[in-house]
Amino acid sequence: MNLLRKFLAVLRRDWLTASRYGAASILYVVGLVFEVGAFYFVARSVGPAYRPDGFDFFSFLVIGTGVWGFFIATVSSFVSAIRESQVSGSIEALMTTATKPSLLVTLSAASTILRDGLQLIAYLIVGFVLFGATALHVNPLALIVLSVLILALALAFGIFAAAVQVSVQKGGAVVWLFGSVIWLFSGTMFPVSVLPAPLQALSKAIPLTYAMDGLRAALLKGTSLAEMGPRLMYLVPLAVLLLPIAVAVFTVTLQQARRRGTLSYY
Amino acid sequence: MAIIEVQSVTKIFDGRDWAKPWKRTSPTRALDQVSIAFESGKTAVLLGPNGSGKTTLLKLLSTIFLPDSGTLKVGGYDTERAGDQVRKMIGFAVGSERSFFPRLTARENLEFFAVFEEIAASTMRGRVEEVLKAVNLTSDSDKQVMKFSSGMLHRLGIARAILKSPPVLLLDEPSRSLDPAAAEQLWQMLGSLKEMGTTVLVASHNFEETAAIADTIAVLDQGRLAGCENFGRRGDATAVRDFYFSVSREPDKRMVEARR
Repeated sequence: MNLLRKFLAVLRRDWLTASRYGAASILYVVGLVFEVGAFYFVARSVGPAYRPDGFDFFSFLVIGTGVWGFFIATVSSFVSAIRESQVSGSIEALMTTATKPSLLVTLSAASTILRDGLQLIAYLIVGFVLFGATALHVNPLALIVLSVLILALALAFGIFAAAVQVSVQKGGAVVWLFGSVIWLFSGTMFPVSVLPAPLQALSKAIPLTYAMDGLRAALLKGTSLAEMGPRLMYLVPLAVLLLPIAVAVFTVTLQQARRRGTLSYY
Repeated sequence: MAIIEVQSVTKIFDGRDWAKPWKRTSPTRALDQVSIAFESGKTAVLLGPNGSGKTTLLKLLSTIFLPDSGTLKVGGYDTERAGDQVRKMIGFAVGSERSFFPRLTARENLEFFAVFEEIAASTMRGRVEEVLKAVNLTSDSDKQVMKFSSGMLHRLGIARAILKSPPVLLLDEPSRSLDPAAAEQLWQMLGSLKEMGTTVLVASHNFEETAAIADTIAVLDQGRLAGCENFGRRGDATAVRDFYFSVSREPDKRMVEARR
């Protein structure tokens, strides 16, 4: 009950803040239409014969960039939550409340994650409805399981990034580098099969490669959970293990920042 | 009975820039082997010049900082091992004015913090109104805090600190930026809190404020406890001043002027 109250309080705070910033959200939606539009014309200029991993290229791009955007925005939301509270000076006041710090950070990022999720849905709607990407052939169960796994991985990496922000105040730079590596190697805009063999090995170590491939299959080919086998064998244990490790690392980092007196540094 | 116990506490800031680990910096010893205890239900004032360690001690008690050596206990709970319990017992008005969400109103800010302080939903709104009234901000409660003056932000910080009716209240220079009437109102409020059994620990530079509220005065000087006494002359700022300069290494400007 308390958890729900806190979550709703964060939603209210962020909603009130966003609504008082005026038209920023509308501008974002307009920008999103232009972004998807650019991919539409890239796919048209390449031509219908090009089908990466057997998918229509425009659908491949919309799902890849949409999922990548959601993943990185979610990871980044933890850094933003910490940094904004450092800049606004509210971090010390928040850290002396009765709420556990790791819960506080997760909740502070929660409404941004919810917004990122809605933006992903809007992104896919613009791509598949407005620009008429290929027909969807969805396996709902596989879609839900993969979405949960992507969210769990994003939460874990987000908490790691928050730990970097608390520790050395460079969380934003780390997320930028991390995002660029994933952009290049996880099959966001082109299939990983076009990479040189050594780089393909790196690509196979990145969990989002499997998640993105699985999500495309669940959305476009109706691939079932049973057929997802190898992808899930990699993603499920990773998601289950990484989250508690990330929380433990964040807790230790926070203690170190308290010891060094750098909690409010940015 | 002591509700706050500080035992041989040392706090050193190494000043290292983690982006430039090769760069050598000299560490700052903010607190050096400080031992002191404060009684339950009393008001204690920490006096000392800038950089004497007053704010560091408050931040250590509130668990924002952890000590390098020694122990701090609030209500018997160790700040390092039982931080969650300590945080439930204390309300801390941080010295910084930048500690609110600027686009939210005063009321919205307090309601947000009230949820995170786990104040029951049924009593939250009433409690927020009470604390707004206590710091004389009711008429400005629907104004966004980015439009607040420095004094108003300070009062709002105090309102937030007393929201959960904490047994221990930590205030960092509470009357800074307040006009004389607001400062007197604050001191009266602290008197009422004491009557209700709240232990108040205030960091201050102000002799008049100290004389108005203190049961105990502790003087910190360059991170060391220079002196501590129970203060029985309510309202006598000269007595506070005399005690301060008798234990502090800081020169008394009045004496220096008189010698000239």
